[in-house]
Amino acid sequence: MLQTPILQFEQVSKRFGATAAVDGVSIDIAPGEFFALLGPSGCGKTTLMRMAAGFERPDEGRVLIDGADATDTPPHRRPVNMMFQSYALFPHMSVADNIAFGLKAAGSSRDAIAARVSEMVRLAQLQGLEKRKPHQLSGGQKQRTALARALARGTKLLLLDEPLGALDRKLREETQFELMDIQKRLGAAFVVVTHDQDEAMSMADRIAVMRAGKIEQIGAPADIYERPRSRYVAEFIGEVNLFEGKATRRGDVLRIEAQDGEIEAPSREGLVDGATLACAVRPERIRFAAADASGANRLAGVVHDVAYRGDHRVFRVRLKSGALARVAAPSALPAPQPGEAATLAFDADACVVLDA
Amino acid sequence: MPRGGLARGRLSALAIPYGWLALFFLAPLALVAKISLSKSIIAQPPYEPAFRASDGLAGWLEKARMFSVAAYRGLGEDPLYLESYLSSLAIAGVSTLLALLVAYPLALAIARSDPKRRSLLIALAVAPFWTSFLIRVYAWIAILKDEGFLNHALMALGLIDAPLTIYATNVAVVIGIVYSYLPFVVLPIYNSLEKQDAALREAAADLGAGPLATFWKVTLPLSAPGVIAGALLMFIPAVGEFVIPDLLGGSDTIMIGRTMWNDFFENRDWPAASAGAIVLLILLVGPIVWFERRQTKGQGAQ
Repeated sequence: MLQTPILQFEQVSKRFGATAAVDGVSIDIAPGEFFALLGPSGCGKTTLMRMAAGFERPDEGRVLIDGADATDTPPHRRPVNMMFQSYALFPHMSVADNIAFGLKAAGSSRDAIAARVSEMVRLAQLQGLEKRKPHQLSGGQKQRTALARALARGTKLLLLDEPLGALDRKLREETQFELMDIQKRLGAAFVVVTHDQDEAMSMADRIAVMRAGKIEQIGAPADIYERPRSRYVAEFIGEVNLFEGKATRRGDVLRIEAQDGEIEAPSREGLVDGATLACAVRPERIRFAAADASGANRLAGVVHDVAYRGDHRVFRVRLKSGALARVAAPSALPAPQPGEAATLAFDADACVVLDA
Repeated sequence: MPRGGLARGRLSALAIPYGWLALFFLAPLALVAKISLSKSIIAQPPYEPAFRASDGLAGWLEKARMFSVAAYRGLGEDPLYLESYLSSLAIAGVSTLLALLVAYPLALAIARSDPKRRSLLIALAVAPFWTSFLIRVYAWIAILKDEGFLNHALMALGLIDAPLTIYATNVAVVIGIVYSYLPFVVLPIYNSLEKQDAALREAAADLGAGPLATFWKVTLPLSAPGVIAGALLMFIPAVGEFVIPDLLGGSDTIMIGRTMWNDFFENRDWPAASAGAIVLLILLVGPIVWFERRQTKGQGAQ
């Protein structure tokens, strides 16, 4: 990385009693990057974010903000702002006073504060609500007030704890785009904590998938989706079909003797001949083939049911082993009906080989 | 069940507290108000008119014409009453301010302590209630008198050469009132601090406010309802306090409770004492009404 990262975790660990909430995590986040910390609840993503804000001190390791060691810097001296999951709006202050809070604390002049507040009000589309108290706002308005307050100081790093968690589905999607838009416009780095993979995938430049205090994988959304490095990541992000079996290497082709048929997958370095491996295939990479097609990556089964999703349909197909495979196919294509026999096919390069 | 049954059920449920208030609050208050409009005489009872069942309705109406506001006019003419009211308000006010200064840090410390230990600390703050109030006030005599523990301790430490005269002064009364009413102030403040979302303090720190600024701008304003409730819970009974000034105060300690007691039992001027009580009630109802309106207005904000 050529630029100094805006936020760096260096081998940070944090224990709460006997459990390690964060365990030896290192991440570099670039200026202006939209970064997502993704994982189920209790994976340590919130603790990691609170370390960046200064609310938790790592037991080991360092936190650097814009190249400077901030491990022991108290929260009110860090050039970082956070949008809280509960929003934590000051209930006794109006929308405008909430937004102005950080500016007043910084000792800005009255005129500068007024100008910045009205700029933030415009940015967050809160016009006309300046004098309202938080309890007079809708969920979406509270969310935008919290965002405006966190952005007002203009720090280059914004932490967002489940920013869309409290919104309903429709509003959530709109707000995703709004957040992306605001982030692009301001050029600040956004670090979002979320348990929602769709949210992380659609907003972030890069995602860190966390599990039990550790990073499972860091990468661009497409990277993580197409090339998951572990079964955990493959299953956590999107839908996946897993075919397990004994693997043998034949040059650059790997053969897996799965229960439902023989699978051919691209081989790679470090795979042990004879080990039990799994082939992960996304539902949209599987298609229906002619019944008489034979060879590798052809699996026979019976269509169990179909879910119509508008532009595509999701089929669940019962395979020989009894497992249900998922197939996503464009609605426009001809497809078998439930109860009919079907042959599933996929290309070797659709298969990601993972440890079983 | 038809709705009438439900309404009747609710009505009878309400009848109990309202009946209680009518019997034990409104009726005695009406009696005091009635006596305050009477005239002091040397008789049994020591005022007239006294209504008797044998008078009949006509007799009652006849006697009711004897009511006068003479006792109230008397209060205005007696400088002792004015002085008593002012001195009571001053002593109760100073005591309440001092109690707030002691109670707030205490409540804050308990609210910020380990959640597992909070109920124990609250129990300790309330522990004095387990001993008789009278005994505790007597104990303060032993502490504050010239030959008391406090003077002994201060002289042993070499801080003073001669004993301080605290007992039998207004200072002793203030100390006694602050001590006795402290738990009533600690509890509401603790309650409002404990309810505060810790994320609000984190948000303030995150936005660049140091611990002191966070306290002044977030913690303190949000605990205002608790502070006001505690102050009123203490101030109102402290104004009419009788036992503490009687035991710890000196002959020059003038408080309205004592003045009324004197009129009742020494001067046997029941109408004057009753009028004094009614005026005190009116003086104190003001702040309560103000607080109630503030509470209902603030309800939405919580």
